[in-house]
Amino acid sequence: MITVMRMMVRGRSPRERARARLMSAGAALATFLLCTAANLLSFRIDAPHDRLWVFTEHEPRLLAALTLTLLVVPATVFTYQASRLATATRERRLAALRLAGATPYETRLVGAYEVGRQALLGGLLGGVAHLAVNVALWRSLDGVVPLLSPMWTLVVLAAVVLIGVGSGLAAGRHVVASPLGLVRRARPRGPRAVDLLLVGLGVALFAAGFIGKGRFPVGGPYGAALSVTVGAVLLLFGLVLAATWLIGAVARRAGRTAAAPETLLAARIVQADPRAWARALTVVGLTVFFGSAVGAQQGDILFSPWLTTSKVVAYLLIDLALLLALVTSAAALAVHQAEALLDHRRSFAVLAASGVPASALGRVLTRQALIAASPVCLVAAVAGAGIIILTTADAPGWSPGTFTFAAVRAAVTAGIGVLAAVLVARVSRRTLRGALRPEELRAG
Amino acid sequence: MLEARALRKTFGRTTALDGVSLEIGEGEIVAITGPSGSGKSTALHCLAGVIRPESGEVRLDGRRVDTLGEDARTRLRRENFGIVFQFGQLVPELSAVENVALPLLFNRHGRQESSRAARSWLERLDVAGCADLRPGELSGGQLQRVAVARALAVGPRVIFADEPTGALDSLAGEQVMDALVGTARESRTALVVVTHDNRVAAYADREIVLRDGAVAGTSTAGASTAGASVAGPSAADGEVTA
Repeated sequence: MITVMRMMVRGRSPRERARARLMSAGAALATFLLCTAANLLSFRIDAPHDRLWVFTEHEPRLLAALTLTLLVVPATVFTYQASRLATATRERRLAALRLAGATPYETRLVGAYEVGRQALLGGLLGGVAHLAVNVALWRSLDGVVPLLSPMWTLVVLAAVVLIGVGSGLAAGRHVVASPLGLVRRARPRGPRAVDLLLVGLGVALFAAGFIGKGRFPVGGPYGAALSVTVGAVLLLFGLVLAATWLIGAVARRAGRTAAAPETLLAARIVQADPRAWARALTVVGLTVFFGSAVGAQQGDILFSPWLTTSKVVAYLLIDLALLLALVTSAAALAVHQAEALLDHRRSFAVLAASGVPASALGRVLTRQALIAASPVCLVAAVAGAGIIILTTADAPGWSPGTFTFAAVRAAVTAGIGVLAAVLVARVSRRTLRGALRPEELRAG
Repeated sequence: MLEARALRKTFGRTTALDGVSLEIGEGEIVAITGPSGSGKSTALHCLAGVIRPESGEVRLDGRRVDTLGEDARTRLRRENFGIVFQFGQLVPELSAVENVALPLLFNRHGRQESSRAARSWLERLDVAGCADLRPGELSGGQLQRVAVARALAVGPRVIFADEPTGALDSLAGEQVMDALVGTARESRTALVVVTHDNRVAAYADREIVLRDGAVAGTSTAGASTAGASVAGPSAADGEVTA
């Protein structure tokens, strides 16, 4: 079996090799971030240090470690998006394996091996990069930075590989390869209104905790706080799950009312597979949610008399992390666009041959991004800022200025999220030109 | 009306076209036939302005097409040509009526007007019942008829069809060809069909045979059928002038 797996890896197409490299890059980034977060938590500087003074305080150090850990989410989404590239070629190979006598379980093992191998390579690369950065820091900071213990590095590496193998096995569940060479992909269920249940429950708990402050029936003030927190978490997860439904609904409406052919085409393409867009926009939505929430919190602090330098630096670090998350999610969006273009290259090539200008097809890409990203970013911004405003608006120090700052910051964050999606779509126009080549008209 | 002179086109070391010359008259139905790799599809792509030949020229009403820039050729295709392929020409996410309306919308017609026109074309091609279905829900024959409706919707002067029945069984193929040729004749639209199927070639007024990128022969239907309502397979017994 191992020999077969190695043979399969050797015979990969250029697209599959690109997929493997991107997956390794995602795994390397995740490993690097996790190792750095673990290292930050084990950071101890007893004496004040002129260049590392931020980390002498417990709170900013914890915030930075938490932020780095959260950054693993976009890296994971990116890796998952990358794993979906060249799916058709890969599925044909798996079907060929079945024809050669492999059992369904063995084909799934091959899939898991491929992902696990890339996760291991990426993990090793990320571990080495983390070590190199740490050694460089250790030298430049006169031995202040402690090196992460090898045991923790191994734990992180093992976790990355296990997640890779697990996701490889799970991905195999959706593909049914028959010995006749046919590949069926289990049809993902469409968006359902019931997906909104979590959002409703979250809002209800949040509102109950908020309204019942001081006279909450269970647990008194702690019960109210718990209700608000659980409500906020449920609302967040509900929003992620409901993104498919939301994008599908907006696309359906846009398709019904579209006057321009570009909008009609874009809306129908998004409507046909809102789940793919929801998946690609998960991190953008989360970034906008946290960005707006942090913005509201910043407004609270900026206009308050308790502003300290370490708090400003901690928030700046969080903003930097959010920016990094946005960049990583933009990479995941780029992978999604590439995958979508691969799917549509033939019908787009035929449209171009029939006289539809490449610029109009380029507009189809940007309008898809607009249709999908606008509702996600808008809802995420309103939810993020709303939660903070509702929970802290009665605190001392809140003023119209604070509220305006939070609202403007939420609008700007949502705008940046939409802009990122649109920019990625505009960059994808280069790939589009390749997809419109007359050679595509010949593919059967 | 449409004229090609000494077309030459290579792909790497392979010569796809080697001095092909041909003419298509107003409302004429021409079949380009030949074995695989003879340059049929490349000739069609050059005639339709999809690709540019390395040498030679293509003229529509005496105006050079091959020297036009990408934008001008795109406009020319949109306003004058309709194209039908063997596979996958419909956008899978759009309904049949939306697929047919799409080129009209790109020609700046209104949504309602385009939808009305698209439905009437679907009716003419006997697939009105499929108007609101997506391509994935249609049979091969229905798909091709919707594709023919889309090609005809903009009122083209020439329809280019590349193996339009290649993926169909003989009955569905015959129905599609009947619809394509019949509508082309009714609207006096010229039709250039690339095929290696003799039954499809038999619908044509003229057959041009390509071999190794060059014209190997031309056969003309016994009696000119230009202007007739529908040409049937009986037109196959034409005179061959190699």
